[in-house]
Amino acid sequence: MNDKIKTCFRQIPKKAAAFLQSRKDAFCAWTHTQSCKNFLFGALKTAIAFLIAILSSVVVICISSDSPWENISIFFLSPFQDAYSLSYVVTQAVPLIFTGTAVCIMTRCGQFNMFVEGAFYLGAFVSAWLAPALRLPFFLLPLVCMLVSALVSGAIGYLPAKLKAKLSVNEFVSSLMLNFIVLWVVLYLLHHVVVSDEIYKTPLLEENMKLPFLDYDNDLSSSILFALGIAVLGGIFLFKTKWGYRIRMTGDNPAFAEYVGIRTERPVVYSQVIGAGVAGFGGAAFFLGNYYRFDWEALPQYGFDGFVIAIMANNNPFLVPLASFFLAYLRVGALNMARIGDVPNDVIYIIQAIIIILFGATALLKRVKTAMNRQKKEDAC
Amino acid sequence: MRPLLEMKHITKIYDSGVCANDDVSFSLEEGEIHAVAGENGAGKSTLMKILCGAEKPSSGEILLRGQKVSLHSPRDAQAAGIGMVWQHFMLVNEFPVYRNIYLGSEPKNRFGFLRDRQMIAEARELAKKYNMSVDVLAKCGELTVGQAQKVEILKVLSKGTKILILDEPTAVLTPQETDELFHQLLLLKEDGCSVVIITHKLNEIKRICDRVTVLRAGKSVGVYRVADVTEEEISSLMVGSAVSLQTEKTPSSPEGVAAEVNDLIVFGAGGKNVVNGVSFRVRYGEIVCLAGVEGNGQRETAETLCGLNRRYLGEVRVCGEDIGKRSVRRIRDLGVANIPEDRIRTGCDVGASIYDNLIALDYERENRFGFLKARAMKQKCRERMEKYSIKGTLSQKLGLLSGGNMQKVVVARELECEPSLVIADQPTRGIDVGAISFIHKKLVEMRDAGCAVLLVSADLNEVYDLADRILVFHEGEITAEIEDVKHTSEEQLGRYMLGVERMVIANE
Repeated sequence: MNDKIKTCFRQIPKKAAAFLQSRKDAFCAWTHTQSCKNFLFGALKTAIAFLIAILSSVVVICISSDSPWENISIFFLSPFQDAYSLSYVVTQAVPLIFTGTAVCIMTRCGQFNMFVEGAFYLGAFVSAWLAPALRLPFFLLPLVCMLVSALVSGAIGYLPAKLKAKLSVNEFVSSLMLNFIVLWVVLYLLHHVVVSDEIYKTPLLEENMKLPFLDYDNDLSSSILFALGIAVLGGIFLFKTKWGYRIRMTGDNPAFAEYVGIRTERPVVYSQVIGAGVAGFGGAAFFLGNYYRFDWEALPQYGFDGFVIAIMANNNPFLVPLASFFLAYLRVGALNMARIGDVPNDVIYIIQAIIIILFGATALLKRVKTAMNRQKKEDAC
Repeated sequence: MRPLLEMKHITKIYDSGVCANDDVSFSLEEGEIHAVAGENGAGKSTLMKILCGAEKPSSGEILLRGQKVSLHSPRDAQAAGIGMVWQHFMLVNEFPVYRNIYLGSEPKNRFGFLRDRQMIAEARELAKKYNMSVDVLAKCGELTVGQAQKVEILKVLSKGTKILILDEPTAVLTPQETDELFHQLLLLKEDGCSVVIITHKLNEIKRICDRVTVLRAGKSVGVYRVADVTEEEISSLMVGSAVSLQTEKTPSSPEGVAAEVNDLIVFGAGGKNVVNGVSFRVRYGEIVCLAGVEGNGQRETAETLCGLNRRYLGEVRVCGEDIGKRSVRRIRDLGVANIPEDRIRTGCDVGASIYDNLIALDYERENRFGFLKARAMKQKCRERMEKYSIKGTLSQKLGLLSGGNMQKVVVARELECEPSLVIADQPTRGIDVGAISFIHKKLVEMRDAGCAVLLVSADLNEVYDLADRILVFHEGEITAEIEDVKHTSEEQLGRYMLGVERMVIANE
């Protein structure tokens, strides 16, 4: 018995080495393929886009500041300076992860639905209204609130989706307008229906109605765990389930989807309903994580940020957290710069705009790509 | 006499590596009507796009009246007096006819306002000069197709065009409109214009053209005086001589009925009947070929059988079931596989991975609670890629493959789902010889395994190699049903395809 175990242990390094060798061989083989070239090209393009964005932000800071070096160091280093700043970066990333995932699910189906914004706002409101009214044990209560918010947002998200599928109403326009309907209905409810001790605000949440804090002193809420979970679930949904497969095929080539037997109007509907649901869930999670009462009088813009994130993450939910943390990091840096230094917060919008333009620029580095493909073309003829 | 226009040794290789024109030469004389004939994908359109400045040749030169010209844009071509009427009209439907005629070169006054009255008067004069009756004040969206085409021609002529290129001008016209168009083209010819017509309709070449340049697979097969050649000769030049790939196969032993079509009528985009009362059967264990010149209703028939076209009348039964209200998936569940005509538009998703393309029919079964059984399917896909010798890796984007490999992915997906009826529409178009013979063998294998195969093909070699029975389509009708394929001459088949002759088909 003992010997058996011993030989077993002795074989471990051998097996591990063999395994590593096989991985290495596979990798070496991969480096010669076209997909590797494409991967490297994509990575290069991403790096250059970020580099140009950051360099131009440095230029803007240099122009607008009296003490540029000080401001630049605040911009890049202050998010790491202490635990509170770091936790603030994480908190800022939470809504971005939710809305980014929601946008990924919709755009993968070829749907440009702006209701992510309204759904996020609605989700926050529904949870704020519902939480004080429910009598449920600790931790179950925020969970129920978040799920109900997701359902409500998803249900309303069904409207533009169904209109698109049935009557080909452009979902971009209808969802954009739906945002304002939702905004004004919520404001009406807030002003006339919600009963609270303070005017135009929902009742104060008690600590046990909220999502628990991971680090109370630094305001780090457990909503980040839900956000990461949603991003992973969103990725699994898109890439590992049959519904996700249908969504992707419908988005890429509807004619092909029809031809293999997918009824394309269905993925068109459920991708948008699920996207709206995810955004509603996110609104609730973000609200229950970091707020005590709902008094948002305008749309919070997180939904639109979701499009920025989706572009940065190449519509891949697995990459959404990465993109969100990066954007949150830049935003916190810019915020600190405005607070401590003398550069206005708006510099972040310049960076954001440049990132969007460069990521959308498919012709970027076209010459490099053409040179890479030239060899292939010569082989073909 | 020196020709008006010469294109010498034109070669065009697209970025994708497709070689569309390979050392093609073309010449046009003053005042002639010249046909450029060839199958789809033979390179006719590319050649003419080069001539009108829409594409740049990879090598070769263009001489106009003996002078070398370089045409970098349609504007350059316009300046040189070359104008093209595209198959798909380029008109602004909301604008009146006269605005469309002068679109892009509108006369303006000093302040930049358009001179509408001048345009109307000039447009009327132009229409009168070329004897084309069209109301210049009508909106283009309200015109019939024939009238819209006249506007297109006037648009080109208004720019002082001396060389008029028409891309398949009769594809959308009724016979009366075609007659009218031809009459006008003859008038233009008398007026000194030179006309180039891209077409694959042989009777039209015979009717109005002086010379014909035949293209096949990107190469020029020759230039002929139309008076010296017969339709059959042109046809065999287009399709190529019977260099058969010789797929080995035994006589068929059909049984049962896999598909049954009774009095099928399919409506096309313009409300015209593209298929007009067709009835046939396909039995298990035989390859039935729908032969004919393209665009005679074969594709629509195939699409209807797969449930991709719902605008039809008549009865269509597949594997014993009426497809009436069944969705595409339900029809596929009956055991129907479909290799579509256009692999890039419908046959696959070029943006997705090879793996995603291969599992498109399996994923419905191969999942547990909606989660894809990735490991099992990957294993399956690897086996398929090996079996069909597809080069590449599973995660590679499909769009990076060559045409032949891409088609093999489509064929692998369709034939490996254990179908009992395979509908293959031009399964070997535009791919290399190796892939062609592989796919041919595969189709014969399927037949031998007791599967019914319905093949749509315009390639006579393919028809002769594979078919156990041929149904010849002409203008949406079956003109012949040929059981004895080996003893029917190409000439005879050609006559059926052109509708010159008709076989009396006994009602079953």
